[in-house]
Amino acid sequence: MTKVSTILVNGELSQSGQIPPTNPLALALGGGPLGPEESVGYSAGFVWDFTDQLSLTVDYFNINVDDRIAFTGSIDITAENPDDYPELDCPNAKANPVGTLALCLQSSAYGCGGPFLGHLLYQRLRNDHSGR
Amino acid sequence: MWGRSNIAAYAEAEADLTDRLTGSVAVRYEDFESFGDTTNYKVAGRFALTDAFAIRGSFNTGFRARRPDRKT
Repeated sequence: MTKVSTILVNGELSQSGQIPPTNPLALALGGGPLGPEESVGYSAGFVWDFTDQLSLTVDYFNINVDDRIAFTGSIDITAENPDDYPELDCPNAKANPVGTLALCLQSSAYGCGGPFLGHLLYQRLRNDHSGR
Repeated sequence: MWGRSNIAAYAEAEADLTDRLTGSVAVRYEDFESFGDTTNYKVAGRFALTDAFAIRGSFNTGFRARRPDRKT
């Protein structure tokens, strides 16, 4: 799902958005389909019954999660030249003499289809290979 | 407006192996439409050192599918 909003970056109004990891733009910048998060966990502890009505339990547990899904940080595509990404079909940016990769997002094929102010940042989802 | 279907089966067994030792095993299989399938399990044990004091432990694997709106 593509979301775009206007935010302040260093005192300047900018467009910032999130795009799915399989958006053509995200693919060109290194994204890909998301896999599952997988985990391995273990626990150890004891149960101590003092009376029928009072007991103490203590357990240690540890869960390791692999491939946590998280947002990347902001990636500035304001100055990126669409000609450097030949796999992207981005006619409105390529037709513009000062077109940048950010212009691609104005195509409905890339999820937005609307005007932008200032420069544009975007985030993509990806597999993160470590986590707890 | 997102949808996803999945099928899962789960089985668990627990038994008193001796007067003092209880063990359990559990396994879960899940098949997600257009996402893949997964099998996860858990083993656990409890050992009574006295009538009032027992130690216990477990080991398990886990799986979490991405949200359906983050598909593809």
